[in-house]
Amino acid sequence: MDLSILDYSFMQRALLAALLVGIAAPSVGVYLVQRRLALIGDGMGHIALTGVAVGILTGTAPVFTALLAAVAGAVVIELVRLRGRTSGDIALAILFYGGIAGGVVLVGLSPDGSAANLNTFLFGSITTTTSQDVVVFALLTVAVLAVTIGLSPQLFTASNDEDFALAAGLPVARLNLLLAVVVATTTVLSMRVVGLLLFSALMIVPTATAQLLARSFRGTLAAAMGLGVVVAVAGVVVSFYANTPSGGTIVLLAIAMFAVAVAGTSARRRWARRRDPEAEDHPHEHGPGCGHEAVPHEDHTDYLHDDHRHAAHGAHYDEH
Amino acid sequence: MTAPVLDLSGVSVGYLDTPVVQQVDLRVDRGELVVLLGENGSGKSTLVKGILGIASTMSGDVRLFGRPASAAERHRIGYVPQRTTVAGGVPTTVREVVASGRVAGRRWFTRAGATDRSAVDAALDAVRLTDRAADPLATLSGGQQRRALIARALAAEPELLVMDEPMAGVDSANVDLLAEAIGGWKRQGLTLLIVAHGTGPLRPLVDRAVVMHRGHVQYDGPLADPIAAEHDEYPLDDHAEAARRRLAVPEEPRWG
Repeated sequence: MDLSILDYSFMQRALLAALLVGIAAPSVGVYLVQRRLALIGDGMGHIALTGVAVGILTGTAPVFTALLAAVAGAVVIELVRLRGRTSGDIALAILFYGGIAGGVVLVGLSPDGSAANLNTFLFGSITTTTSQDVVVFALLTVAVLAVTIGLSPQLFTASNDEDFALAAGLPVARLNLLLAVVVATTTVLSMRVVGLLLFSALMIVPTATAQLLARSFRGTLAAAMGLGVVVAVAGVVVSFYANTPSGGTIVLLAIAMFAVAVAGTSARRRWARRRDPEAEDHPHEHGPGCGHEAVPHEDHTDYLHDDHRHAAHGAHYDEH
Repeated sequence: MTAPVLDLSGVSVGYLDTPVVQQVDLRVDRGELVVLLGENGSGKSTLVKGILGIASTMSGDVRLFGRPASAAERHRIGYVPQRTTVAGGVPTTVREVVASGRVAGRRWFTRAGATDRSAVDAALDAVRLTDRAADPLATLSGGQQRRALIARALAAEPELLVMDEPMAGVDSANVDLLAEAIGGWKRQGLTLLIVAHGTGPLRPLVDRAVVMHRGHVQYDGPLADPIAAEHDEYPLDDHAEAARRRLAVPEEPRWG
């Protein structure tokens, strides 16, 4: 086996950074998927870009300026969301566009700013991770996990049913703000290896894959983190040998894994159906209000399930 | 004389700047079962959301257990929302949903203890879902999901249970069983506030009916009064039976 990849210190740093972001990003993403806010991370990435540009312009480490910008953006986004006005949607859009436009313009103004420089932040570049970055990323990962794992019951309850959480007296606004700040932190954590435009995929795609494999929320969370580590580390290794940008490579790997999981689950379902063509064995119990459309059929009721009809027959469902 | 479980004076609730519910006075005493009646759009659900802190009150005073409403008092309330299905795309087991009912009362960064687990077990047992605890919620029927949400509210061992249309969409056999269960909880001392279109099999359990009309309390008194009776003209079991026949929906399996 070729171990030369570890002989390069920049690769050691990149692999460490990949490991950290692979664990942290999906642990945040699972709550975003649960709340159907899968795209909010993209906006945070845009805002962080302005922070990066400020860092380049002022000669400060971009990690810190990006963190400041992203956290400030997260707080503003939550405040807009909290007010719940219809114009909130437009306000968010303006914030996101402003973030990316500000970043591009500010980098253009700086003496060592160039399109190539910007590209490494947008799409990730394994050679750019500094030792200082790795230390900061490790601390940020601990902070992110303290929230996503330590406060898992609270975040789960608030994300699962916000009305119920409010009625039960959970500080929902504070939890939402905390989650937004954690998303912002993950943005920064991801910017070296995955890049600001693609990091959100590492929060969402492993979670989407884990959803297909797990039955419980805890199971989904654990599986998503495991898959996140695998695709992040493997993506960095592949990008080293194939000489491709790490962010794109990681995300393509994650999407490939998702495709395999989709194919696997539907093949398993087809196989189960072929074994017993009359009956589709599934744990869902059809009934009034089960979410499937009811269709009266002679002396019984069929339920529209995907593209076919189910009729109760003893303990299973026949295809009608 | 203990303080009322719920005491509203001059409460207005609305969305943005528009009040939907205006100047409501309402009192629920310990051990009472109060049913909140009124046609669609009369403000029943909005009033309940104001009481629970889901919608913000625009004016007036909400007192819970004798104190101004705050998080500590809300931990003592169980809420069963109207909708049957829980949002969220991530798979969640029945036990996880029911256990989330106890989270608000627990300190941050602490894990569930033995008391939490036994309360969740008891709540699952109370709605006869113990054998489905490990199944994903999405694989349950609508009626079973509703029971899981009732269990989530019970898991907190509440002193006040607020249910929004608990009988909507539940077939007649299960409505009777639900009424039986509610009767049992009432005998154990639970205070109940139930939003409904009609009382159906709950009728003998009801201590007081409150009728909402266009955002105001139109009537507050015994169910036998003509005004209350007018808003309770569809006993639920008949209504559900008619709907069942119309849709040709087979009966759901009974509880347990």
